[in-house]
Amino acid sequence: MSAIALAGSTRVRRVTGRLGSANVAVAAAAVVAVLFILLAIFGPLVAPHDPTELDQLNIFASPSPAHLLGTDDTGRDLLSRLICGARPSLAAPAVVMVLAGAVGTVLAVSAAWFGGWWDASVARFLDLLFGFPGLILAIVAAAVFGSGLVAPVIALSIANVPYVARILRPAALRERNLPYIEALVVQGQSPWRICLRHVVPNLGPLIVTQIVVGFGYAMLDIAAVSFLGLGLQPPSPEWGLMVANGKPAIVDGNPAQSLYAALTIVLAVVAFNVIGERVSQQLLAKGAR
Amino acid sequence: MTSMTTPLLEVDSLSVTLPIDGRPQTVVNGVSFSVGAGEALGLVGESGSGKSMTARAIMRLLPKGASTQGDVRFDGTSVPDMSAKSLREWRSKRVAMVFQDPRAHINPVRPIGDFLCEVLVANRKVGRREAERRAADALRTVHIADAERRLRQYSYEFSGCLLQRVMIAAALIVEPQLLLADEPTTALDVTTQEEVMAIIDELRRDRQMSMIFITHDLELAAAVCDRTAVMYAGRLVEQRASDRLHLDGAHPYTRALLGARPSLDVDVERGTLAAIPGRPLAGYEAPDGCGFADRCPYCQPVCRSERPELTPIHNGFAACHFAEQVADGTVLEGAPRG
Amino acid sequence: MLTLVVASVVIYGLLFISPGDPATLLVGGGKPNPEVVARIHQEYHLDDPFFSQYGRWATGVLRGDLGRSMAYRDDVSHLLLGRIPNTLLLVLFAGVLIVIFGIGGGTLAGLRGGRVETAVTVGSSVAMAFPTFVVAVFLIAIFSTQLSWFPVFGAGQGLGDKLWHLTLPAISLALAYIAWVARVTQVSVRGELGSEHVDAARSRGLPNRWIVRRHVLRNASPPILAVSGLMIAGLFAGTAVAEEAFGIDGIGSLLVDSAAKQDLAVVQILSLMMVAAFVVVNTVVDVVNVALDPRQAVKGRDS
Repeated sequence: MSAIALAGSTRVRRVTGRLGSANVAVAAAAVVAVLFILLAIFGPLVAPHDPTELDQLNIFASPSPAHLLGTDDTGRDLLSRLICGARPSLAAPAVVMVLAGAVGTVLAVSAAWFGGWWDASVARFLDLLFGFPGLILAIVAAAVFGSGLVAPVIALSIANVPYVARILRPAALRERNLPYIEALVVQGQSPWRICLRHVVPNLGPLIVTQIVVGFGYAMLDIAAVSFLGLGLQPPSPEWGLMVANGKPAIVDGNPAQSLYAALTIVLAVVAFNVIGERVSQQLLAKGAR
Repeated sequence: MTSMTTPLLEVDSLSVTLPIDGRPQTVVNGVSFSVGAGEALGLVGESGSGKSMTARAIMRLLPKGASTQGDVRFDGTSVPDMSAKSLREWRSKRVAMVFQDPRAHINPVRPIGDFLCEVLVANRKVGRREAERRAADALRTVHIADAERRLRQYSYEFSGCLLQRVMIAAALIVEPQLLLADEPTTALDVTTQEEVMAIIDELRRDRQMSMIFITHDLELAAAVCDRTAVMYAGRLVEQRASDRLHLDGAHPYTRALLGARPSLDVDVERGTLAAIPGRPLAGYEAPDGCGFADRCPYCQPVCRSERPELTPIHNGFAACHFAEQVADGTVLEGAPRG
Repeated sequence: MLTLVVASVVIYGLLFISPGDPATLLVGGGKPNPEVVARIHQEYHLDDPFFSQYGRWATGVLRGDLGRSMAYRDDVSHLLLGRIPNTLLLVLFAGVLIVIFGIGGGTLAGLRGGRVETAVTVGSSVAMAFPTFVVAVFLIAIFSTQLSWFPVFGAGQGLGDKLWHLTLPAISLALAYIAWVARVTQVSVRGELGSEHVDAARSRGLPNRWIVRRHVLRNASPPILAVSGLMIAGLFAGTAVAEEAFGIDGIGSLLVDSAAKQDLAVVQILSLMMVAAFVVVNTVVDVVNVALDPRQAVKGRDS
């Protein structure tokens, strides 16, 4: 018996040893990320309770078979809220990054294509906007348009555009100067067609990488906006909002709500960041063609 | 041609192992030679032969994880045994090294003047003004005009050739007894190579400085140095007085190097350039027996089983079982693969 | 600078792109009766063309009249005055922490290698994922129930007391940046240590401390500086969260509160301040970069 167990454990060790601990980390991250994505899609179906179901008699309950993680300040099941919160907490950053990716691509490709003063203007614009904290833009957007996620999401995409475009612009320039593009131009194909069918798809991996890499940070920003009360409003189970809602209870000795939500956020961000780093590493390695 | 007094530098069975791909590999294997005062020794070999590592081992400038065996004696004192403080003393006063790529070896964010004066100011407590005076003088000895203004400039404002001259100036400013030149002209184009070589040569003779000149160019080494040593696969395979090397080079590798270089006075009958088949091996890739066996046109069974030691021949040394015949040219009738 | 002017126009214009009558917003929401609306229109010259309104506002700002907050029923400048010291103190505190632990830790890790390096690498990977509000919540949980070393709310009175109160907020603000800066510093220092010009310096017998001071650190600084520029911007954003979380009366919490109330007068001034600070910091970073590495002046900014 012990021999078999030993053989099993050494086999596991050999496999992971061969893969390297870094690869194990990425695999774990991928599993977590997929789990979160699944929750985001199927959350409400899987949650054991209705996330908005109040139970004023049962607030801050300890974990029990009925409520695996206990309940929050109004008796709602924490686990269900976390599960259902996946959807807004992940969807919003996804929209942010996809928008940023789209706008960034348009800017980068057009700058590369038209060159001249347009390129210079875009470059200047990106330089100026680069590094300006998205959170501030999001707060100002909320001030102008009222609370809710739409305005902050748009504001955050604008803030993320420079990061994306900065990486894309040199790549787009390089693509644009490749001989086969010139051949297409000589053939008389329209710039739209060339860009859409050739340039953008070739930049595809890079674009996707930027979106994935930025996703984690966008998640943090969205959660912060909700934490400040400027995003989704109660009773939405968005994670940042849950942290804020649970804050007053911490001092009273009921930190569970805030802490669980906070941990969930961190877990998701770490998972996506690890994946993002690995994806960008792969791309860099492949890019050395 | 060797000096009768104690040699300035003695390298005694020096071996160097480096961690490569996680495992320690030998890159320099039992190398011994000596350099007398005022003498120039050329150290020749292709990439991987271990010549650069030998020089770095002498200076104790090896990368992390490297280990050495054997001894290096400078003026009788063992260098590997020196304390950190004595090592710094020694490096800053008695020996100097010129590197291959001057742009990489000079700090780009500081003025050239800083680079030149550092050694004087940091260790030897020479005043700043005095150091700058000497630095300007040093620049003048390497024929750089407008020295005072140049001192305040940065490395990006110098061309490659000028920058190498600055490095030479920096090496000479401390008036060392031994100069280690690691392929100082390889990164330069041919015309500037000659200029820099001329400067090095002139200054060396003026100051009676010893030099170890490392290069892959056998002809260049032979032209500039009193003696030439050839390295292959981490070992020393031949050591001769430079002027004899052409006449009776006693190792097939030396012969091959001489024959492989295009030269205007080569025999017209020869016709083709004799390239050496195969690729140069590093120390740890060498098989048992003679390291050169696989590429040697005169290889015999004994060459694969027994490693030839350095044996004295014709006022030098060679590590070949058939050194005599190679030197006389009697084995040339073998199957030369050109 | 041009950016500032353009940004100020955009900021002021925000008032007009928000849905609804600006007058309603200036009153602070709700449904005021038409007379009040008309009066506000007159008082605030809301029917004048855009640029003359902008001009009035801009000249007012330059003269020191920052407008009036409807929600707080107070002059904006008055609101700011009391809060600026708290925020400044918080940011400075966090900055000091970042320099000591971030740059200091990173440098040590780069120079020493071995265990220190591994510890810093692992630690920074973990800490980088912890945003301000998460750290804040954790700290509150620990220090309000288990340990009583630091207060968890308010900013306190007097310098010493304030520093004590601001410790936890500063930590929550700084942690992720400490990790980031440490990582960048470590990599940069490591890289420089292995560079050829350091090799050459060693071959000339220069003392180790000299080499580190004059060759390694200075050459390793450009990436650190670049990161610092970005970081300062992020710090200002972070104060919004940290101050809210810990109940501190500062610029950040003012921004959040007035945003919630849609008190645009305040929001406009504060965002103007942010943009100004951003521009100033960027310029300073550029200048210092050139001073440290003369090649930058030749290279230009686009890399």
